[in-house]
Amino acid sequence: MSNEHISSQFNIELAALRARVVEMGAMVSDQFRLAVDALASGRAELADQVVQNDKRVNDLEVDIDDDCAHLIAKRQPAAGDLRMVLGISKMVTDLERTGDKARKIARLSGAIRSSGVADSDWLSSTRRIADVTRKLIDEAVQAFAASDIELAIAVIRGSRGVGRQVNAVSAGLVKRIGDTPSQVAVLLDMMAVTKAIDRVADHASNLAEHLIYIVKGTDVRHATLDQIERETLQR
Amino acid sequence: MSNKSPKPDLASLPIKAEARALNFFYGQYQALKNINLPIHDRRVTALIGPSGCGKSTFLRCFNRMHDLYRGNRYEGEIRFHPDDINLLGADIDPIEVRMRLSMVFQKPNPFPKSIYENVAYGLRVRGENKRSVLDAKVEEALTNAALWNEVKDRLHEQANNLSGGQQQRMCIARALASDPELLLFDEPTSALDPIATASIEDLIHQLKDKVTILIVTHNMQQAARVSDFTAYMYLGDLIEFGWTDDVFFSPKHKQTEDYITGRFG
Repeated sequence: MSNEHISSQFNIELAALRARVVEMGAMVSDQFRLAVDALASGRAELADQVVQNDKRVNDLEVDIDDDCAHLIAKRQPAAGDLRMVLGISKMVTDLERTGDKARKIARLSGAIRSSGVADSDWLSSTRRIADVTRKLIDEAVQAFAASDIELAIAVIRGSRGVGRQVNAVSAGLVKRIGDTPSQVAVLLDMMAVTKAIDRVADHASNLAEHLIYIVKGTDVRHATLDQIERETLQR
Repeated sequence: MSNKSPKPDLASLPIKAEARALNFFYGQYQALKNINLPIHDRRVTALIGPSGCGKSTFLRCFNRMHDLYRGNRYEGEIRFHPDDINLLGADIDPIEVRMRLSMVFQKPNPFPKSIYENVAYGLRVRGENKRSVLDAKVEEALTNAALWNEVKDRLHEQANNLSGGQQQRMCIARALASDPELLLFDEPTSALDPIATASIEDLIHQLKDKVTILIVTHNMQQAARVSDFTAYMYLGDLIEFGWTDDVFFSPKHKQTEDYITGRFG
């Protein structure tokens, strides 16, 4: 939808809404990067920064949702505009939860690093998976900004790849729990970090699915990648 | 993917009327261009589109209102079921056509008579003068138009004394009294306040079990609320026809999307 509404005020309101989603996406991506940096470096001030910033992410979610409700009440959007507003309302939930996962990783990072249990293998694998995951968040937001369906599908595909890597790392942690029961508390924290990264990749995938709904009007939640590709190419 | 059961195939739904290759000319000016459109039986079909798109012209073809002016010309057909006659056929008497269809206009147009006589008017024109029959029909029509409870004690008052919304419901009762097979609404609520509009919309919901309805409306949200099917017209062409849910949520044509999202300039 490149052409504009007759009501220029409606254009302004929708453009502002979209811009705030992109802003929130960038903020959440930064939060995730900081949290992973805190884990990699053991720098407590980075972790503190993530926890402090999380309130801004939460506030932005509430504000954008409120904007959506007001836009529906005032403008009664239809078709693509309605899907845009409904889709954004769902996207901000996924973005906020991504922010929560970043906070969780940040909170656990101190205990994990100070324990000395986290080995370089786990740290480097986690860093590698987190970098891929962060790229997925950025691409999901970029796909939204450009209404780019192909990029959205690439994000969904990428998220499934992260899931497989996370399973491999998790299996390693489970084995270590069995081998060294005395370290179980820290190993469970490490497992929680690994799972949090996996969830962030899921949220990136959800963002991409919401974009497909916005652009194509097709609800692809819970669909296989094959179904998604078929559905989006059909219409 | 949604698990909702898919909508019935359009081809499987019974049809009350059907425009086939319909062209209409006001003198030299072609106002309708090759319209092919089914009107499904006991469903509400809404016609939407910007001013001058031909939606009211299309509606008025059904009751042959255009016959009243010289120089107007139809081409093509409107098949009317179950008897499969062509409403536009030269052998069809427009008066007979109008007996089977009723029209409700933009502004309420009560006759300068009592409420009772307004509603009984069509029956009297047909020669029905038996009091018990008229009484029963007037009550039935006013009940179906959701007006009976408000007027049952003042049936012999002048219809002009009713509020705008009541007058419009009385006009609907007048339309219903002659048991029409198809009700034509030409922007029936554009002169009414939101409360009266809501009651007319409720009425449309209730009536569709009994009668097929074709409604022209400028109010897109109204089309979305009351209709099962929506046809979008532009400059005499039918651009899109489909389930209202689909047209308002995922229209197939960009022109339709632009119109219903307010991008049409």
